[in-house]
Amino acid sequence: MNTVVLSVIFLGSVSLILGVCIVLTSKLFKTYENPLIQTVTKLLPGANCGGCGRAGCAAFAKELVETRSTSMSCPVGGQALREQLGSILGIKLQAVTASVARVLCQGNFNKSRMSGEYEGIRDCVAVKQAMHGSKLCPYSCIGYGTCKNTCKYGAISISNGVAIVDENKCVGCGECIKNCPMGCLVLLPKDQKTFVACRSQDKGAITRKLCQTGCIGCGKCSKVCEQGAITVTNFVSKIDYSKCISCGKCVEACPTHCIVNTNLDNKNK
Amino acid sequence: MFSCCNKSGIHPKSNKITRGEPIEKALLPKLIVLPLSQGIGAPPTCLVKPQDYVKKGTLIAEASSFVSSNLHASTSGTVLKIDRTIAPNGQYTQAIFIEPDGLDEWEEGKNVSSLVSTKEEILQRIKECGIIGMGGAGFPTHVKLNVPKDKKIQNLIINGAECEPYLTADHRLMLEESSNIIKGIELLRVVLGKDVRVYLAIEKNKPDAIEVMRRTIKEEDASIEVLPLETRYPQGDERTLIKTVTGKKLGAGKLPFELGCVIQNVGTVFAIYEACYFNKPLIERVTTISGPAILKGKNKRVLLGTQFLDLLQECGGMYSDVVQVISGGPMMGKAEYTLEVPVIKTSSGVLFFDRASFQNYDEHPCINCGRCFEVCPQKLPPTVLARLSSEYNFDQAVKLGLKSCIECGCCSYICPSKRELVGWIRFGKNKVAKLGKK
Repeated sequence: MNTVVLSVIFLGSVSLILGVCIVLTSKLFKTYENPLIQTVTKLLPGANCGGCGRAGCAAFAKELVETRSTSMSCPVGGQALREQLGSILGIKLQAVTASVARVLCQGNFNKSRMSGEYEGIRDCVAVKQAMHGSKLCPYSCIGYGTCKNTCKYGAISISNGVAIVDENKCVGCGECIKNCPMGCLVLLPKDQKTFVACRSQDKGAITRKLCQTGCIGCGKCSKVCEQGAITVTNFVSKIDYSKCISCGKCVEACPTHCIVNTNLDNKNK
Repeated sequence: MFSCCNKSGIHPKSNKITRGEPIEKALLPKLIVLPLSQGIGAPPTCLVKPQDYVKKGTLIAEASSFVSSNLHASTSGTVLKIDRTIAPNGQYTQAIFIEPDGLDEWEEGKNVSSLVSTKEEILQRIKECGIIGMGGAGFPTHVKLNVPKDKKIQNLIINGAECEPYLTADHRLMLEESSNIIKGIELLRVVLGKDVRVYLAIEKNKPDAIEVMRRTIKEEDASIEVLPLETRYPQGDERTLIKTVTGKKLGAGKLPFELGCVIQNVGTVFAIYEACYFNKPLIERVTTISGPAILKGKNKRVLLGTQFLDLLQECGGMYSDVVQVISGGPMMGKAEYTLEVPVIKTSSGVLFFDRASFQNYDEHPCINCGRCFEVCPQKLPPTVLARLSSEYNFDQAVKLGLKSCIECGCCSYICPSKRELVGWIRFGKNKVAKLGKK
């Protein structure tokens, strides 16, 4: 009995002393953190994708609350999040055009010439080390799915040896672009549905030899474009999105079908 | 923690089927393709344009920075174009295409007797002649010999180990050019200082080379010690060689001169001899053409820029069921997917493998047997590094010594589960190098 009482008293007093110490230190070394940071962090998507250019959602929240910069944006959250954040912080965040990742290659197994038979690690970076790519075209998509593995939103799939982005799932964070060893992916405005799905800077004849669906720089698209939005430089067409109205005339005119309009494609299906 | 065992390295079947074939001069090909980038360092600046006429030994690309090397035309002819080609490492690279005129005419002042003897002159000549390490890595020799003033070089190690199976280029060179190699070594002695100790490291599976070199050294009265080394792979690797000869371990990212060592390949030494005695730029090299799928394996003195296709025809062609063509040795070489690949300064061999000798295994899970730990010459934990790399956990992998890996492939060779160990480690190293740049 005596032992029980003694130990209770002893342990109780020790915990009391320690408790007092904890309270004192927490009072003495208290650092102020803006409670808004927590609120903002909870609102953010929480995928830590890095699409905003910060280390993660918490870093974005901290910077936003501290600087109240209206030019900061979370590409994933879009308009709804922007309004929510604006009302909490009492500022009006600038609207940014939503982006989407586009694969600048359509050279699948049927359409482009393959280089060698590759055996080894199924990863684009490893393929790039062993040879310049899985296809002979030096600008082509390797198609071993490094972008698919790094996408946190499941927006990329590999079909017949070439990556395809699901534009409904893609949030435009740009993670795939950082990891693509070939530089086949770019961010383009989400509302613009027409793009040139090739970046081969080879002369037309060489491109044609290597791939059936590469841009050969013939210039037909720039001739049919009534807005004057298409220019051909380095044997590849480029669309100026400040002028493009997505009429789809270039898509019809392109002899190698390398200009793609995702709206038209969906309708055709 | 992981260094538990001393018997590192592996013993693959040496298969030196071309050891008895004397070095022959290869025929002049129809087309010469000279990639600008021949080894480590910045690619040199191209000095010619299409339709220019060049002679054998004409400087066609000049070193663009300190770690870069000159490139010379390997025969006389007309420059066709400057276009991309596939280099032996599988990547597209810019190259100068030359159509030979068949005369094979030397540029004036090149390939004539003109001996240089002072340190500065020798270094200058090595730089001018575009000599790079011919063992495989291709590090510019003038940079390697340009030792910082505060470092004292005690050991010069001449690498004649040739530990890769099949390759016999260095072996034949030692047999046929022994006295010239010794002349080359004496030139290096002038550069590095009179009191440097010179070792000539040769694996024990080349007893004839050891004997010939010993005899010639005696005749020439040179103070060179021939070191017969145990036959194992990767004996000829720079780091392993330093460990074997001096007993010291070279840390990751360090260069041999920090331990007072300079290592030169036998082929490089011979090129230095030719450059300093005859002002002959590095435009040809001895290459072994071998493998089970070739009709007649040979050792050839090949002009740089000769495509594998032309070499193949000289050796009587290959059997129809070739499944793999490797540039370099079978352990560290690169598999090619086209024969339109040129021989460059670092191509020590071209090997052809058929279906019967080329086994393709399925990968199985790691059984934790620890054999890769035993054989790793750098005492690394290969299976752990490979797993960490495949999980993108590069920080932890670097802590365990990812960057020290020399990519010799012993771990993948010995693995009973046939796992892609060196593949994943190489992948990790590549990723770490890219992340480091950002």
